[in-house]
Amino acid sequence: MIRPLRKRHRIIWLVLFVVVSVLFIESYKSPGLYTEEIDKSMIDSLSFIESVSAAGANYDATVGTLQSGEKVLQLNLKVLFRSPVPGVYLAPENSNDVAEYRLLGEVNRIGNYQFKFDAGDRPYQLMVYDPVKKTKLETLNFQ
Amino acid sequence: MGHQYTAVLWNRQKKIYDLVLLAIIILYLVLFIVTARFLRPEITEETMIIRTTGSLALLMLHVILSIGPLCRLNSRFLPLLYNRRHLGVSMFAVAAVHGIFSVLQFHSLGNVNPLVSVFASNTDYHSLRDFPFQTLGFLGLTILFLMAATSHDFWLANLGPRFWKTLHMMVYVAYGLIIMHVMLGIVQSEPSVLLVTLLGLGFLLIAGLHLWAGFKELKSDREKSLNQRGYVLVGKADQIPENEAVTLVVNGEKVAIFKYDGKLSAISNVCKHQNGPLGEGKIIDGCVTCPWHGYQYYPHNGCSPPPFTEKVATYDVILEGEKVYLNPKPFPEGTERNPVIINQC
Repeated sequence: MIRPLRKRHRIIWLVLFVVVSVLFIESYKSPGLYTEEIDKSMIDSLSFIESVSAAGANYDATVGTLQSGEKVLQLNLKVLFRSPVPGVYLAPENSNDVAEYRLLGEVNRIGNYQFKFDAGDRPYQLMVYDPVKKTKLETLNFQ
Repeated sequence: MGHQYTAVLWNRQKKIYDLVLLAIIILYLVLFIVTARFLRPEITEETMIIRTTGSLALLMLHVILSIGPLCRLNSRFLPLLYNRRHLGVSMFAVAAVHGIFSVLQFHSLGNVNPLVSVFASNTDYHSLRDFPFQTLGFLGLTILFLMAATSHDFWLANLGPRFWKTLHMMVYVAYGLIIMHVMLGIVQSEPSVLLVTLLGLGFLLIAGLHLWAGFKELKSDREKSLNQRGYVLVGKADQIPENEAVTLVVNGEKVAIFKYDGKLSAISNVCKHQNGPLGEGKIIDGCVTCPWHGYQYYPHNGCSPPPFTEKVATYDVILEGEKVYLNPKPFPEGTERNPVIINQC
């Protein structure tokens, strides 16, 4: 390698080191548009004061209301969605504004899931959404 | 070193290198798939291909980028450099499989052109964490494609060394794009402290090696002062290993002083092929042999042996007692200079 190339290498790597390090750390620290900290811990036995259920080709789901007023989504995923990043999202009812979607958790493997959430007093909807394709994979219709 | 262009230049060492590489790739694919099938049996075939090839290409890219600085830090790593070109093209092939399957899986089922969908399906370009990471991967893969397509001496000769080298140094831009592609893919799709830590350590390793080698060379790039007669002191003749060289900087570039058959000769340190460091090579069959790709030059005249036509500049060496001096004035490329005979002085 000639001397000017060695110098160019030094400059490139200094710049790359600083820029990538900053972006790397910031992307880890910064909050996402659609994510929030959620409690994923499984609760074995819950006593709901009321509950509603939904079923689809891929899943069975129940939303129960706890004594505290908090709600819990219990979801049994039977068949995987055709998406590598399907997530259960909470959104205001009939909203198509992606900025209002909040991720409860990913459902990318077969099995049981349980997500606690607080929807407030507003009517809400739960859906399985692919944030990469920006596609609604399933709307959970509770009855 | 070949006199005519061939599609793939193979010799015995390169065939061994490529077979070992192929065996490692197959071993990695098998291990990854078996482990993933055990840990995550629900993963679809397409997702498995995407993750296996993506992780393998990333690993290969780290190995490729570590070879250069390792060789600059320690010449024992030079055998790895010899066939880096095949390693790079193989890495691109694996990365291309990852890219093609990703586009098919994520973007082929909509009513938008899949390549348009890569850039248009997620428009959160204003958010760092939700930035469309697939676009970064696409751009990185495009750079790797250009590099793989021009990884041949035909393109080196026809594009010109300056343009070709600039194009191939774009691998560092591709590396930055790919690191952020993977990082954002992890935090957006499947947050994992372990994966983020591994990725961060990989980047620190590569950046650290390059910066270490760069600053080490900064020290050796300092020019020595001339003595009263205008010569530069090289050192003692017995400090130069037989059939090898020592280098020093004169007029802004390194010169290699070789000892062979009881003689001393000096030529430019810069190989005409890809600016390889001739002073880190050895004398094989009477010729200085570049450690990068095996280009050869006679030490007494800087000419490649026939039928090759490459030439480098030559220098005069002076021996006073045990001390070796170099006349920093270069002679035109290919100028014959009588070697200094060590035994007769």
